[in-house]
Amino acid sequence: MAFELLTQTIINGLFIGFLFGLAGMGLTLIFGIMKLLNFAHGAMIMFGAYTAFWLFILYSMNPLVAILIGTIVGLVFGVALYRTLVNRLVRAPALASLLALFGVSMILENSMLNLWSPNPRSIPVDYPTLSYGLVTISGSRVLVSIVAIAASVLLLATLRWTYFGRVIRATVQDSRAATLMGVDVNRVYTLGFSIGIALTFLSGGLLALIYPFEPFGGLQYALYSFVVVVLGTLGNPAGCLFAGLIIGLIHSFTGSYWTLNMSPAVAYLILVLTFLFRPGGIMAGRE
Amino acid sequence: MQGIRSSIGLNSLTMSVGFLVLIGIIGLVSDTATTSYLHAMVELMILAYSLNLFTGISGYANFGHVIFYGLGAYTVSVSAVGLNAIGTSLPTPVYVLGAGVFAAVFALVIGFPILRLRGDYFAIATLGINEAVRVTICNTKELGEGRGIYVLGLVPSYDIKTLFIQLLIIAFAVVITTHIVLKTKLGYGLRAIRADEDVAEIMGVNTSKYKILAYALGAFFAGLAGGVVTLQFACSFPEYLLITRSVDMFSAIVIGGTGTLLGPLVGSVIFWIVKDALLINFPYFHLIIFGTALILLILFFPRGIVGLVNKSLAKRGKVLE
Amino acid sequence: MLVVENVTKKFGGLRALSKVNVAVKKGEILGLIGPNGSGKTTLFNVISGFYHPEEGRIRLQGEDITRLKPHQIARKGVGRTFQIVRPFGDMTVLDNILVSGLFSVPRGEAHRKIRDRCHKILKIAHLTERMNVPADALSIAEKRRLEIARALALDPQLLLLDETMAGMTHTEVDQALEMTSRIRKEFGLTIIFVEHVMRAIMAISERIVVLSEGTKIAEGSPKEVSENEQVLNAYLGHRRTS
Repeated sequence: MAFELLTQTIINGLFIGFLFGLAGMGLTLIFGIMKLLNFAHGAMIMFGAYTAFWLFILYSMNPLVAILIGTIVGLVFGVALYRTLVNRLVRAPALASLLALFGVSMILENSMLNLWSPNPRSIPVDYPTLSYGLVTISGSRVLVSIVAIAASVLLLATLRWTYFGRVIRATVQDSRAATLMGVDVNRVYTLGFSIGIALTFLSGGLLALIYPFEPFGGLQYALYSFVVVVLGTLGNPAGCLFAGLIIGLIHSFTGSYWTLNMSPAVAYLILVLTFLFRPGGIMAGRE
Repeated sequence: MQGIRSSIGLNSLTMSVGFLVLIGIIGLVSDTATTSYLHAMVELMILAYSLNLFTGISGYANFGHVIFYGLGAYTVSVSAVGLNAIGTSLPTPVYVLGAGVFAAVFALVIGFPILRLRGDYFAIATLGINEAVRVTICNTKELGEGRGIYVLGLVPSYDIKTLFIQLLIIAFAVVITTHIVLKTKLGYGLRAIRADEDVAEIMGVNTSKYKILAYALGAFFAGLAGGVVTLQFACSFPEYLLITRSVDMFSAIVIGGTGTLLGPLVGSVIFWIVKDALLINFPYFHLIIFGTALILLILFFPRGIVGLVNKSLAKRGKVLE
Repeated sequence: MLVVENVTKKFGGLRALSKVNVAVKKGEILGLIGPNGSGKTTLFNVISGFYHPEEGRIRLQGEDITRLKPHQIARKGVGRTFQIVRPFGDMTVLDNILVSGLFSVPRGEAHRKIRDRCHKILKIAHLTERMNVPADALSIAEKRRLEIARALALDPQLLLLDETMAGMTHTEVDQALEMTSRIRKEFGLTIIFVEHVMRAIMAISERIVVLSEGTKIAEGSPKEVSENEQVLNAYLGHRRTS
């Protein structure tokens, strides 16, 4: 019995960990490129969830297709948001951008509340569940993990091996030098930001498959995302992936062996320990 | 350090104090409904001033300021329950001061690790602490879990006018403290930190010490307000620690002008009146309008109303705080 | 006054400073020159406490200040300016100077005395009329003067000046030299001067130390240094007079 619990805990932890990793990707990408911390991250995850949800309900799409389209919506939304607001925030003092994004968060959350009521929603799916004795592996979680891994790997590959990825890395390292080499920094920022938002919407959509969500649920996910991103070193997508798994496992273990309600407190404890002992995160000092 | 006079010939301190006195008089002679309204407004003022002492002047965004308010509230209820169990109780000022002191001590303890962090990291840490404390309270039986702690009969109960006076006293205290801070080393040091922390260090400012000091000072006043609210409703809830309450405080100081003496006052008044009007007229959209207003303010009037007034006064060589 | 003893500072694999030894006498003006990247600003950062060296010691008036924090070193009387000026932008000129004044070497001064001292410094820096202007609104030359004024308000014994004359015209350089001389006399300062404007350094320094790629390659009077083979090599292509 104890062995089954352990196995189940680890499996659950890994599955949720992949999602945590993906959720943090957008955040860490945006920070890495523009040194901007997206304080509307939680609200955007929720918005991504709602987008996928409504596409699924209104057009009877395959949930995965709905989520994919939701991701593209996120991309467009990101571009629009950058052009209207965020480009000004890049040059503003830190307090200003924090508060402005907090404002965006308020607008999003309350729009969702008004449009779609505070009732929790989720995308009902009927995927097969595998069972090995007392250990169950839910099909939807497997699917979510696969998509999350695929998206993360795609992002990392793009950054490392494509021309576009190199341009981004050059801009991150030295934006002035990049400009001198003909890189349009503004365009890099626009694209980087919108890809980050797209990833965020994607993680929201995937979330909708396995958990219920409501307009103000974003804060919890934002907190976990922040912990993941700091632990994985702000700006380092690969680190984010590892950190996601670590936090996922910790979350799962807290749930199994203590109480799930205390998981945020434990996550925060990890955050504090990271700040105290390895403030740069696990990938500090590496590219 | 230098004489600072507004164009009306009064200085900012006189204006702030005068305004508080005005509110006080109105509150005391009016009917209960008006007094309650003003009471809540003054509570916001105190919270705004307490946030201003740290975030406003130093520029470090503290999103978790509301926990000091909440902790202050819980201090009173927990001690009331505890003292009642051994058959004693304390006079009100001790409860309230105790709330403030506890909040300040808590701030000192968590301040040490997190104030080493810069900008974004610090903001994340404050969010984390806020949620962690709130979640811990919600899961602790002795602290009433999600229901809260009820202390009806265990603490002295007051009518709204007396509570109003209590809040006014705290308000005067925080305004005067802000004035003193701005005029002394602490204020100058914090402003230097806001402008450029590294250079501030080079110019002799012990940045760690001053940040912690301001953080704890802000916590103290927020804690005092929390103590009073427990007396007011004879209970403490985890809702007191919701991050959304921080939005009110932030909006107030951003509207009024961060880091100034008059800012939190002006900001709180305007915010309170506008929020109420919006709530009545647009019950569903008021927070959306608010979020939009906040963004516009940040982009176009980053220095708030006081900053705006200063710009026009500066042409005449004068400055308003 | 100041002794830099065998100081080594590494950044990852890069050795910014390698066993650098410099001694500065009280009241002296020492010029510190070297090609770009030779470690001059790094040395300043180590002295003022921004970085801690991996090896070596820094002694101020005999006291070991190597591991002290920047604000502690500042309050022991070390003032510095920055290559790219960093004033407290949204504070007024007077407030900028008051910060250093308030946090200067502890002498138990009353606020009034500090204020008077700051006004005096304002005058010397020719910034009195701009007293209530936000520092952001100043011209570059005024900002440079503010940098020096702020450092002076710390009531320092040692002043580290980092390329205060970059981009100045001929006359401006002369004015700056004159002001530097004056403040040295008036405040009894010891000055370490980093500069690329050769004319200025040669004119005002009593002694010069030359760094190249993190090591000291020459030391001596301006004349000796300007005739030194190694120095000329390090500056290959660089004109000796401006």
